[in-house]
Amino acid sequence: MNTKQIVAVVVVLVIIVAAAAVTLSMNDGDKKKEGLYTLDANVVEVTMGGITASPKIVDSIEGLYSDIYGELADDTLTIEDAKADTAFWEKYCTYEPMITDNGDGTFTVISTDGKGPVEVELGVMDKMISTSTIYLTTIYYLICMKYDETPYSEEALANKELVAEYQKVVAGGTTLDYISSNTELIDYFDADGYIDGGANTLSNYETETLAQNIEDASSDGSKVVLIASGGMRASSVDLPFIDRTVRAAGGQSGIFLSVTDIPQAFASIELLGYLFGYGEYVEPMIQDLQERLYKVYYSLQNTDVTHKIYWETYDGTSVKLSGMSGEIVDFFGWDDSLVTGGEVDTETILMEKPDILIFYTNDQRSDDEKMRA
Amino acid sequence: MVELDIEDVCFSYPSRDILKDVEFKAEQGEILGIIGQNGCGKTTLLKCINSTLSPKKGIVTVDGKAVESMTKKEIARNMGFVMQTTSTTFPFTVYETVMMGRYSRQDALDTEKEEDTRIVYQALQDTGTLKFADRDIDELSGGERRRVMIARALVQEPDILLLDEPTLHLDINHQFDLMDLITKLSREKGMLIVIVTHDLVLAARYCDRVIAIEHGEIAAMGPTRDVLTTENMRRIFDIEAEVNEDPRVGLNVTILGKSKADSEKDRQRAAS
Amino acid sequence: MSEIKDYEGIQEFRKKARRKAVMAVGGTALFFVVAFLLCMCFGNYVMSPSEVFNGIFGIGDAGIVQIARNVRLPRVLCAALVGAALSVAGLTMQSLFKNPMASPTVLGISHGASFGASMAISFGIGAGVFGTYSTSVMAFVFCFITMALVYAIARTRYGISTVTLLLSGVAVGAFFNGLVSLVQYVADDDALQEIVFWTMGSFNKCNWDSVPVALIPILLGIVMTVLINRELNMVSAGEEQAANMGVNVRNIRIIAIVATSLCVAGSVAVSGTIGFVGLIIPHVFRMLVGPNHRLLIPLCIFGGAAFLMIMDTIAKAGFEMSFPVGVLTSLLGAPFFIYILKTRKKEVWE
Repeated sequence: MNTKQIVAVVVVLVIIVAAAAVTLSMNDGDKKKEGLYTLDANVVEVTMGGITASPKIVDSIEGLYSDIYGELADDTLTIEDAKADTAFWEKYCTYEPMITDNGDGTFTVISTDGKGPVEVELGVMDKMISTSTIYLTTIYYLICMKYDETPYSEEALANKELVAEYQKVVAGGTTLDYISSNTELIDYFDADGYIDGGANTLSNYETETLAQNIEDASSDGSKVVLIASGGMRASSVDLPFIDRTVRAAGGQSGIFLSVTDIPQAFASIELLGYLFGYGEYVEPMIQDLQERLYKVYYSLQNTDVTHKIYWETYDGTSVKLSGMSGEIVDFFGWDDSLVTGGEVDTETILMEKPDILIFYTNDQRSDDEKMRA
Repeated sequence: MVELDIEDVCFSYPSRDILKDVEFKAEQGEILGIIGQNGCGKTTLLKCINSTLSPKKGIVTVDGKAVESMTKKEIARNMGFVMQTTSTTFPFTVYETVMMGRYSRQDALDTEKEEDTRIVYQALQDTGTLKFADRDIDELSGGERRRVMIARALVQEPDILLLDEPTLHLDINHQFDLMDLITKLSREKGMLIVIVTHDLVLAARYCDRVIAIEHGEIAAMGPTRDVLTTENMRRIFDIEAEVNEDPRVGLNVTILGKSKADSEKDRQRAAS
Repeated sequence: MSEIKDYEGIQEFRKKARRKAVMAVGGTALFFVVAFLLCMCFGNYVMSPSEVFNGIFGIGDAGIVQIARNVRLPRVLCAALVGAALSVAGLTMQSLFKNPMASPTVLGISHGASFGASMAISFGIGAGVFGTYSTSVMAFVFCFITMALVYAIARTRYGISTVTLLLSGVAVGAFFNGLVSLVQYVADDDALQEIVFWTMGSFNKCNWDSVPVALIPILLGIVMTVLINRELNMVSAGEEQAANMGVNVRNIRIIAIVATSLCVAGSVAVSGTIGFVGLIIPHVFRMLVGPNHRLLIPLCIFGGAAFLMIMDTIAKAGFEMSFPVGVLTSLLGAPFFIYILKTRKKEVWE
């Protein structure tokens, strides 16, 4: 009897002590900052689909500005002010057009064969099969402008005509999975009618599947083009071969674009706008974007703080300076010493003390994981 | 009339010398035994003879022609070599295995000819392995396999047959079978047979001449009964043996045990 | 089965063996033809068999002609070529290393080739001299280096043991894998995408331009292998014994390594690294017909070609989404590798 009592008391004591220890240590953890938390840096999130050469890039730039710097310095600037600022205009708004209007209802589009530019003559297109969300996003913005709705708003979603028209243009290509994880577009069209091509890059797009998708999209008499990134080198994908296949399967052409900076983003908006019959919205859209971009640019000229940033993608590596994210880093004039394109170890980050940490909104990792705590 | 001439052969690995100034001659029709303890350089000597290893010094000639200057095929036409071990990783049939021996007699793109099949058949017949011809080599016992290897060396139609421990790991009655086969071949075909062995009993009974090797040097050489003497046994092998002529078997070696003098020496070494 | 007693018995045995060989080669060749026709009929573009075969000869509408003649046919041909090449390469390596576990992937040869090719892709090395063939040439060079390296490390005075062979394959493979990762790390986005695509092994980029890129080295490699078939038999039964029977083992070894490198390089240049084909196919046929190369080489050519064509067709059209065939062969190959380890212990470890 006696021993049992002792055992019981001991057990109770052990439990109490253990529980106390656990609570204490948890409190401790809450108090003590670890990993990148110790930097006390401003943590900012940005949509990954927003860092592409679509109109959304300006949304993202505005978002980053307001998160990090706050209010714009002057909200009344116009496109005329932007044009007058030649440094800005030459760097960010001057581009080689990717499309020219022939005046007879046809256009000349500058595509590539992987070695150099090629000209393609096309009429107005009805549908696209594309291997990138950039073009889907651009088309969405153009259609929203046509119906005078704010992109991604409740009203835009409720506008049946808008959704139906978008649905029609976006015939297929990029996987639905990829669209839903990288953009907010997934709700804006009917997934059942979409032709999932099973690939997110041209090199993974099975050639016969591509041909079949083109054929399916054009079976109702629609004019279909393939729009894909042509940045790949010639040895990788045989672009003329893909183009021939697209044409043979009933499509109009394969158009391969290389869009890696802000001016080219404007050029590609122009291209898609004219090609899909939204020509009249191209100029107002581009002007609006340029004006908004200039407001941010102007405000940045008037700050003397230089932020040091660390910008990490969802796989734990730094973004690359060569892509669109690098273009943004350059636009803001941030200290890019931590933008290496590879892994950056925690010690380096702690030593370099960036004051801004940027992550993507679709990063699946927990906050502690991201902050390496 | 084939004559094998080994002149002044030396061989060494970087760390140690294996053979020192080995020199002897051998002629057609004889069975020459090379005896010695493990690691004395017997097998190395055999490999120097057929140029698998090239001697550091000295020369091996067959009928006056240096083996080193011959092509691999030429060497194979002159001498067959039966090794201690056989690989059975990829089990060919006995027929295929023996047919491989015809390689040195065929041209680069030749296929099997009627003549080749006849010669293979004859070799299988001679070695008593004909009944296994369609079996896979890994299904055979060690003794059977060894005989297949001899058949394979025979189809090379060589004048010289080099055998490395042909009786190793065989049952005692297979050992005698095999040695009888070898004797028969030497007598019937007039081949020169060089056998490396550490089995003194068999060497005494079957070899015409014996070369005893100790630490890479020839310790004794001559007709079998002159080399395998009680004194030589003690000197070279550190064993006590009785050697006598038995009318039933010829020269007979009876091993009595380890040499006394030697165990004395061991004890002294251990003490110091 | 009656025992062989006389010369007639031998003749009878040879006749039977020859009949068996003709049946095996004929059967496999027939299987190859059937597989080829079937693979031409299935794909992601909907065509009836008659449309496909008319399309190949330019009859029918432009879409079908383009897809059948310029998309499907070259892809199936490339798969066949690569399947044959990898099987023959695997066979040669197994004989050379006297080990049924040897194959281009297991011994890191494919990784070496990958490295060579990724250097060509990312930095354009060799493009000036060899043009479109630079990827193949670099793949070949590194194939050869890797194979010679593995061979040199694994070979000791006492022969090649499975343990040292597999371990040196693992080590050398890991080293080149590391180098590929390094190249990936420093490569720009486009090159990176291509290298990744390429390390997975796929025929999606094959068209008529790829056919000669694959065909020339593979044909050379296979012809060289065929020419040394007798020597390979003898070497596979033991190098030293082969030397005793008159084989110039050093020369054969060099020819075999060059032939294998050509086969692997041609494959890698058009399809990237496709694993385990070189392990599975020679092994299966050796179990069926024994180790004689005279028989195994044609069987591996037809069987390997048929196998990879079928695998590729399944990978591209068998599931809702098409994926790289290399993924499929690895999924099949790894369990097969374990199966060989477990069931054929004696041969593997001897």
